[in-house]
Amino acid sequence: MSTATIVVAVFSLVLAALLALLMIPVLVWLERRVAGLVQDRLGPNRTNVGGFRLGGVVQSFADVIKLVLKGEYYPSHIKMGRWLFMLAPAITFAMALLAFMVIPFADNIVVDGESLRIQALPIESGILWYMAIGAVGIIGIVFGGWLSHNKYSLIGAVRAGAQMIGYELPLGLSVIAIVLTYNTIDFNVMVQWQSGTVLGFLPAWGIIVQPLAAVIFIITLFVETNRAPFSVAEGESEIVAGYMTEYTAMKFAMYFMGEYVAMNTASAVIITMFFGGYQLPWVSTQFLLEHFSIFALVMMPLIPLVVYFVIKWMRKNNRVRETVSTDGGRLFETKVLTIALIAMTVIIELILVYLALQPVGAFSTSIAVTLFQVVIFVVKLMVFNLFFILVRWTLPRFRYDQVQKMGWHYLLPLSLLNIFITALIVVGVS
Amino acid sequence: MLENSIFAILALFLLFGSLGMISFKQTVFSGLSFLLAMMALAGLFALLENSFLFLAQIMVSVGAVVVISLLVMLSVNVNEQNLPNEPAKFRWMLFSAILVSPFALLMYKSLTHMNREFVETVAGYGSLKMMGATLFSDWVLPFEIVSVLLLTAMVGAIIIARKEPANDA
Amino acid sequence: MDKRIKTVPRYGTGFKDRLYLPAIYEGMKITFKHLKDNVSDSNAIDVLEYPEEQPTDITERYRGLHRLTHREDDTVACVACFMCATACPSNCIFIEATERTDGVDEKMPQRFAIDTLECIFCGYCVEACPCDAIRMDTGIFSLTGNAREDFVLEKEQLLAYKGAFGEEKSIAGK
Repeated sequence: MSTATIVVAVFSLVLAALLALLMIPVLVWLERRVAGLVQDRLGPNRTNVGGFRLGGVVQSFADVIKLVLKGEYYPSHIKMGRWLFMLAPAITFAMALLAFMVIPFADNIVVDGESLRIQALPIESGILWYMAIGAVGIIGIVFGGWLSHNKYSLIGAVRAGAQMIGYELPLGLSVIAIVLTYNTIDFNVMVQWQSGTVLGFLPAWGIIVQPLAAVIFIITLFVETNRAPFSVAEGESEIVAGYMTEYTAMKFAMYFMGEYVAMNTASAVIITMFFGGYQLPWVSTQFLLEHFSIFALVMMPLIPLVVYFVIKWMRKNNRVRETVSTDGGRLFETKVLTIALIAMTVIIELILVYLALQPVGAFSTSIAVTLFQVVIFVVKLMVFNLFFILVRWTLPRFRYDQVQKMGWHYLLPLSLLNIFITALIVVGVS
Repeated sequence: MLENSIFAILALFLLFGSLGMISFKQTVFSGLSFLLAMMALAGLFALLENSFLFLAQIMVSVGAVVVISLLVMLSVNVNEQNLPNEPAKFRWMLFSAILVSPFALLMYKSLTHMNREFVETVAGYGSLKMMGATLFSDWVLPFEIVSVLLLTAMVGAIIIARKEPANDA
Repeated sequence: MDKRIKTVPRYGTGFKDRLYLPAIYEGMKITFKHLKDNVSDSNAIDVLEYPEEQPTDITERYRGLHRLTHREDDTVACVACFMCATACPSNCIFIEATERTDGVDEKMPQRFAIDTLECIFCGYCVEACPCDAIRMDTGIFSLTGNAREDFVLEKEQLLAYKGAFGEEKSIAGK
C-alpha cells in the first residue's frame, strides 16, 4: 500500500464524510430559506454567532444543538422492544450514509502508473450498491412505525413501505435500460462515457441519450427518499408526523438527518448517471489534463468577476430595512465576508498563475484537475438539491392511491417499453 | 487470520439470526432476526469475493423479501394476547436438534471428506460481467426454466390473492 | 335529456393534463421566478420584521387584552352582575361580589380575575356587559410571563390598563 493509495483513500473518505454530513445543516437551512423566499417571506435570518448570520446557516447548527440537548424519553405505552425503537432510526441513517459512499467525486487520478479512484468505497459496483443499500433503508422506517404502538405511525410506516416496494420495480427496470446504454454498472465508467458527443454537437449526457429512463429514474428517486410530492409516509398534515410521531431528540434527529442525506445521495446519483457527474460538458478528463493551462487562463478573469458580483449582491441584500432600528451587526459581517472573499480570490489567482505555467503532465496538474472536478461536482450537487427543494415547495402531495396507481399502472409499463426501445437501438447502432 | 475471524463473526450472526427467527414469540423480532441472517449471508458471499451475489442478496432478500414480510406482519397486526402460548418451546427445539443430529453428522463427514483442491479464481470472478456472461451462455436453459417457474408462481399468487368477482348476474 | 340534469364538464383528461409534467414545469417556472426575484432584492420582500416593526393594523375593534373601565367620577364601573362570567364560553372570569362603599351603586367586585390562558378572546363578555365596564380595546396582543400564575389578571391589573383608542371612561348611562 503505497503512500499515494493511503493519501487518496483518506482524502476520498474525508471528502465523502464532509459532503454527506456537512451538507445536512446546509440542506436544512436551504430548505427553510428557499421555502421562505418562494413564499415571499424571509426564512430564518436572526440566529447569529458574534454578528455572523451567514444567511441563516447558524440556525441549522442551533437546531442540531437543541436536538442533542433535548430530553430523551420514551412514551410509556411502548413496552416491547425499546432497544429496537432506539435502533430503528440508526438503521435508516446508517444506510443513507453508506449509499453515498460509492459516488465518484473526480476521475481516477494516475499516480506512478497506478490509477486510483476518488471514491470513499473504491468498489466497482456502483449503481447496484446504491440500489441494494437504498432498499434496506426502508426497514428502519417500518420498524419505527410498528414499535411506536400508535395507529398513525403504523399507517405512515405501511404507506412508506408499500410505496417503496411499488417503485423499486420501475427503478430497477430504468436502471437496466441505462446499464444497457452505458455498458457498465460502475459510476466512474458511466461518467467517462458521458464525455463524448451525440449527434455531433450535443454532449453525451444521460438525459439526452435516455430521456425516458431519466424521467422515470428521477420520479422514482423522489419516491424512494419520501420526498414531496410523495411524502405520504410523513403526512405532515394528515397523520401528525407519520412514523416519526413518537420520536424525540436524537432519534428524531437521526430520522430527519437520514432523510436529508438520502436526498443528497439521490441528487448525487442523478447527476452521476444523467448529467455528466464531475465533468464539464464536451470536455473529457484527458482533454482537461492536456490543456489545463488554457482552463486556468480562462478562469483567471472569471473568478474575480463572479466574486465581484457576489460582493455587490451581498452589500445590497445583507442589510436591514430603514424602518428597523437595530442593525444587528450586519455591516460588520458584510465587511468581514468581503475581505475573506477578496483574500480567497487572490490566493486562487496565484495558484492558477502557478498552474498555468506548468508543463503538460506535471503532477500538480493532475491534482488541480481532480480538485477542479470536485468543485464542479459540488456545484452540480447544490443545483440538484435546489431542484429537489423547489419541487417540494411547488407541488401538493399526491394522494396515496394516486401514488400507487402511478407506480404500478404507468411507470412500470413505461420502463419496460423503454428497455425494449433501448435494446433495439443499442443492437442497431453497434 | 482476519478472514477466519470475519467468517466466524458472520457465521455466528447467521446462526443466531436463524435461531432467533424461529424462536422469538413476537413476529417483529423474528423479522429482525431474518434481516440479520440475510445480511450475514450476504457478508459471507462478499467474503468469497463474489460481489454480485453480495449485492443481489441484499437487494433481493433484504430489500424485497424482508420488507414485504415486515409489511405483512404490520398489516396483520396480531395482538400480543392472540399469539400462541408455547411453554415448552426450547425443550421441543432441543429434542428436534437431538433427532436431527445423525443427519448433521452425516453432512459433516461428507463435507470434510470432499475434494480439498479448490480452483483458482480468475480475475474478475464474481463481477457482474462474468456472472452475466456465464449465465447467458452456459446456463441459459436452467435460467429460462427458473423464469418460467417464477412466472407460474406469480400467476398462482395473483389468482389466490385476488378478490373473487361477483358471479351473480 | 331531462332539463334538471346538468352535465358538468370534466377537466384534466387531455393527454397533456394526464402527463402532468407540463403542469409541473409551469408551476416550477412561477416558483423559480419568486425565488429569483426575492433573492436578487431581499429588502423588497413584504415582511414585518417583528419586534422592531410592530403591526400596523390594530384598530378599534381589535380584541386585545381586557380592561375594566372607570366611570366619569373615577369609580369602578363594574357592578358584579356576573353577566360576563355567564356569557364566557371558556369559563375564565372569576368574580366575587361585595357591597359597594362609595354609594354610587349597590354592588362592586371584590375579586375580578380573568385567566388569559383559558380566554379565547371572543368578546362575548364585552357584548354581555350592561355597564360598559369590561372592554377589550387595550390593543395589547402580546402577554408574556414565566409561570402560569402570571397569566391570571386580577382586578387591580385590569383596572390599570389604559384603552388605546381615546375612550377612557365607561359610556354607559350617557
